Amino acid sequence: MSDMMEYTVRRLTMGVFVVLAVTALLFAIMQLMPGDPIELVASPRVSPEKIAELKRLWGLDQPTHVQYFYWLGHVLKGDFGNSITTGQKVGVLIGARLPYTLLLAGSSLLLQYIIAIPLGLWAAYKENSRFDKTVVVSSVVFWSIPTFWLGILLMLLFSIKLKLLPVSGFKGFASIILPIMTATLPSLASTLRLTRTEVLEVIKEKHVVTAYAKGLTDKKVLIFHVLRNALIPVTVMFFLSLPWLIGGSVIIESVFAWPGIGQLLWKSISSQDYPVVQGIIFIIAILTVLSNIVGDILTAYLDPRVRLEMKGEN
Amino acid sequence: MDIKSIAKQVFNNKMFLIGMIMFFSILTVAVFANQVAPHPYDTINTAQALKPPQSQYLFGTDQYGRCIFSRVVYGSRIALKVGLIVVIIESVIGVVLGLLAGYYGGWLDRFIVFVTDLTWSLPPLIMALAIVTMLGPSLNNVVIAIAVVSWAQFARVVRAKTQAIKNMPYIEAARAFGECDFSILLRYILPNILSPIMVLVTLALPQAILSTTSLGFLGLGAQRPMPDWGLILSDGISYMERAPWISVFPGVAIVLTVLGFNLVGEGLRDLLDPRLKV
Repeated sequence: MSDMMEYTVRRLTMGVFVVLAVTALLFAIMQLMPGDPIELVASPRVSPEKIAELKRLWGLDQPTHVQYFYWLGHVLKGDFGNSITTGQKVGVLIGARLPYTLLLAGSSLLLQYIIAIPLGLWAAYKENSRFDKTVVVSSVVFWSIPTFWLGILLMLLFSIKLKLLPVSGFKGFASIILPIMTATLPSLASTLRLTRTEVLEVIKEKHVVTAYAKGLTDKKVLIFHVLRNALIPVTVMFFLSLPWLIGGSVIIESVFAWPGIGQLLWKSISSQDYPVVQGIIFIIAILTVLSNIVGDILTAYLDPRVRLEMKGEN
Repeated sequence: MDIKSIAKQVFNNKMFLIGMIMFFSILTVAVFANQVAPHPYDTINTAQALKPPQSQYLFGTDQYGRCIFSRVVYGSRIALKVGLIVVIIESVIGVVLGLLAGYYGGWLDRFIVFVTDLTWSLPPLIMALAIVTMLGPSLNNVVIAIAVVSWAQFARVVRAKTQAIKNMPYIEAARAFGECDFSILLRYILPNILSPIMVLVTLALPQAILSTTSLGFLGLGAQRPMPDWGLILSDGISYMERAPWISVFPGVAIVLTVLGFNLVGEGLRDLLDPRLKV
């Protein structure tokens, strides 16, 4: 296990560097953006002296790297600064929105795995059957559908034609159904496909043949010998796909006016609200890097072969 | 493998065949858009505003009376052009970096892997969003943004494949004959990893088109009155109850195009490199 510890520590250190690098990069990008946040909020009548004072107050007169370390120091103390457009604390703004995005991403992730694993296993077990072919074809079709269009179609059908569900916004439980369906269907297709491919690969391995030769029933072989091994990459994918869902939330949230972090990011980018954008990017980068690391460590933990490879590398 | 057995394999692969048919139909529409489209894409005719699909306007009209069918037809040019340019840029960056990292190893490898990790430390769409906002919304900037966020896939696969073959006897032999690194990379390694690259290219194209239309949908791509599919679709949302056809048909076009390329890519993978995981 000490190897695992060492690997974990190495990955976490690397992750810290990646988060620092990406936030620094974005900080630099923000500085290059056209327009000045002060000129956006201050009316033209404000005197140049006053503007200079505001800049000094917000540290905008300092060189970029000084501003970055200043920002970083405050973030480490849990202070993300204030929004330029509304003056609210960025931490509070993000804190109010993040649960909505996590609720949407989390439930769609769970839902897609609950559906995809049994279907994928069954499709692979019945390879080339009509069911299997339907699964393969429909998964290609579903991941070719852009989420924004899928969202609009579902809205047309369930909200406008059938009048069953609310069109947009957050008004109780019913309003989460359409966003979840929109987020789930395309990624469900790829998870289903991945499960099927992995099961097909494991089913042909020698230890599975041995299990059959021992006289185990189909059911036992499938669950204890095939699924257990095939689920390794599928579990890892669970963590790797979280960032994709958060990225996709920008689109889904703007279609359904869902009050999450994606919509906030989109609004803040268009109004050049640097502190908010910077804060959101920081949070998303940490979430992404963490889920990548968890994915990698899980692979090593679940798959002894990868663990051996790691040893060989050192 | 002789030509006959290849042809047989191709014809047995129905997904690939259907994909190719879709691909060539879309290509034909894009090339002959002037002949296919009954109206120019930007002719405003308010007398014909918000007409439902009919013989004169196959897909109906929008709030300015513009023919949605013609706009969708011309839009195929934008989608295909942007998709192709993006894929060329990202594959060149990815293949070059992957070859260098895989072949030389050492600090160069570690550096390239770090940069690859960096592009993966944010969801691609969010990274692209930040880049386009910085550069300003336009089709060219969309191309740059999508290429910058999506080359990592190529680099990863090419690096792994290069590592796997760089110590093969025939590479050793080439080295013993005094071939320089450049020639080994270009004439010995690259041709041997061409099939996974081809599969990646065909699967990256639909992804690029999806990303382009997503950014177009957010208003960051082609600007009005250009008939970008994502843009037409998002402009139609405000008329969703009265004129759903404005948003529905560009979406159908996106799905058919992306699906066609995905089918070709899947088929190519089955034919060339069935074990490739992308």
